[in-house]
Amino acid sequence: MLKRVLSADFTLTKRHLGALFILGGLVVGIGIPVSDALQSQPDGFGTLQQIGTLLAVASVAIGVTLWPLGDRPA
Amino acid sequence: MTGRHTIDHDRAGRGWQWASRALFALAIALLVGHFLIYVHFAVGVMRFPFDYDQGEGFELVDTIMFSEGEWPYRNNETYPFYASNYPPLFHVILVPFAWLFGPAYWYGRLAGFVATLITAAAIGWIVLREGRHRPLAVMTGLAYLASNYIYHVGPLFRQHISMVMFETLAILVLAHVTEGQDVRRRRWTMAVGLLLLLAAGYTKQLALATCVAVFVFLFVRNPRRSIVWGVAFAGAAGLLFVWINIATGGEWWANIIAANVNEYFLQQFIDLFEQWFRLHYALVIPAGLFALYELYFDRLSLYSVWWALAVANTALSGKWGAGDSYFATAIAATCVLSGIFAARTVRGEWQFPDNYLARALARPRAFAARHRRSLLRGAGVIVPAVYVLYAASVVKMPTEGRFFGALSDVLGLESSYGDRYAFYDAAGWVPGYATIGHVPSQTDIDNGWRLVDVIRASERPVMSEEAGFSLQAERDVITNPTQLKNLYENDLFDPANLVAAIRAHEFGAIIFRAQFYPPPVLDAAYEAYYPDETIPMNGFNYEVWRPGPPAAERDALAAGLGSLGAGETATLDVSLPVEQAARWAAHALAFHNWVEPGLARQGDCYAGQAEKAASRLVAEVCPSGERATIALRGE
Repeated sequence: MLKRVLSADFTLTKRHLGALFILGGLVVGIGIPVSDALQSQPDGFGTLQQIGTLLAVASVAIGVTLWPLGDRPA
Repeated sequence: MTGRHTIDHDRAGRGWQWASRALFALAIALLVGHFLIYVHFAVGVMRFPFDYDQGEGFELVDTIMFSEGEWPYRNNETYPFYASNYPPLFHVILVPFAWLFGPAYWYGRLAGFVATLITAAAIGWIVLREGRHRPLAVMTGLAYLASNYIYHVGPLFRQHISMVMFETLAILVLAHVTEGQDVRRRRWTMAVGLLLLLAAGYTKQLALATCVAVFVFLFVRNPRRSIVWGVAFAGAAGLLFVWINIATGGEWWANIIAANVNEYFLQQFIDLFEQWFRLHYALVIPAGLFALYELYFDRLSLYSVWWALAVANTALSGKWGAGDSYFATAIAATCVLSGIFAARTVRGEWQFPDNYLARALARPRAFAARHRRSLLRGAGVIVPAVYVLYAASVVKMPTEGRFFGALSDVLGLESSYGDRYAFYDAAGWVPGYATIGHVPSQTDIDNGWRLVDVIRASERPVMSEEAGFSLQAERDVITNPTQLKNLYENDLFDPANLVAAIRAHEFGAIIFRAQFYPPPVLDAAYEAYYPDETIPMNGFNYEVWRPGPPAAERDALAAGLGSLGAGETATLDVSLPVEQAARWAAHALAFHNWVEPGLARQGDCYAGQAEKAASRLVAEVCPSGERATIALRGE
């Protein structure tokens, strides 16, 4: 797998890109409440967290809609 | 005007074509008008011999230091308490000018102005290469120069706009680097492009987002190439970094990286983003549509990746000390993307390869295919109209002078800054937006020289919040205030030496503009100096603070104020002439939290009342030979 990814002619597909968007969105989306909970004094769901969550949702949405585009080069 | 695909031969078609040509001509005329206003501003600022925008003088100091073979990354805790927080390339480029002309602002401002022209040319070149539409290529370059934000920061002695130039040139060079079959040529292209990227990063740290954009693009096209070149790029940048850090004894890291971790104001970013969108929406919307098109129907180009990351990077504009200039890269990328979008639209070259989204859009696509000619006619009118709309959105111009005064009267525009500046700006104002854009007057220049005379008249060094006055007086530049403040807030600056120097009156005067110093430094200045004179320059009030009496006399006043009871009188002798002593006494009362409306002249003396909580006192300052006597009577 890694050998294929690192080959001279490998290029990311729309599905790969979609997967990366979904992964990124999930990491951010889950990371925001987790990082808040880990603080000694959680400061609640402020504007920054709202923007972060919105971006995470958008990222997952983009990823999900890219997924069906399959093997077309990204 | 709209390309060979859109040439119509019937009467209606000719009508549409004339309308298109007229609108293209109008758009170009308006954008050229914006450009002429920009040139007028640039020339006016280049002739101004002092700081026009806060911080310019320190970039000149960095240039002078490099011209003398010195690093500007140094220990801030010893005299002259100065260090730079910017990478070196912009200043190094200007070193030959410093050798030839000495300390002067015009060549740094000229370099910034030329950098904007090169960036505009690069944007036009990209649009011409990708869109093959000359008028649009010209219009997109001019659109970049027409932006209120570029107008602001372009002709200044600041490194930011040169960073944008290197970024745009890197994008121009690297956009098709993955497509060539000639390996040797590809490697050379890659090397040149990455060198330009490195130049951007060593002009200003903010170029990091463009570096990320390039390597994300390369990764999407071919991960191996991205990793190999990424390692080489990081290695070169890292070696340079380590070398400078060793050469400066670690001061490079402290001043360039650690000092730039500033407080973040989310609302400042939100306000600036809203303002940016309001001014540039006519171009931002097509740019966003083009990025979405590539995401779903085509391969992602470097332009789209760059645009997305440049827009995301504007979030840093919420940092303390940041502002509208942080949108400059996003504006360049927006001009590129919207220009390609516009060219593709007027040439009717949109392709929708078969996928589930294309199938969902089958009806509109069928409609577009049936009415292709009509739609192209419409596009030939709508596209230039969009640029007319943009030109109308970003209006800014002086509101006085023989030409601009008459023009602003005709257009019904009044100064956005009242009596402070004669300048109209459609941007309005939000926190972080620079209140500049006007051309300084001869009175501003004259008042600047008055401040230089203050420094020249002093036998001791003068601590000035702006470097220009000290440079013109050929005296030491003492402190880089915002840098000290940043370092202090990151626990990287111990102000003890500077505070001791202020308390000991080692400076003949202090010139304040915005008082962007660390709190302990300001506290020491308030305690040991007093505001003696205010000189307006360029819309700001520059306060000249002079040394109060020696520490023992200041302490005596503080002790007297602390122990004064009702009916008691405290008298102290101060080594200042009566007029200065009265000013210092009024300031000292305020410093010790006594509210006083000012000491009024009464014969040879000055007197007034002051209150603090339930206490009240009467202060009287009278001459005593060359000195003065202050009498405080509790009531």
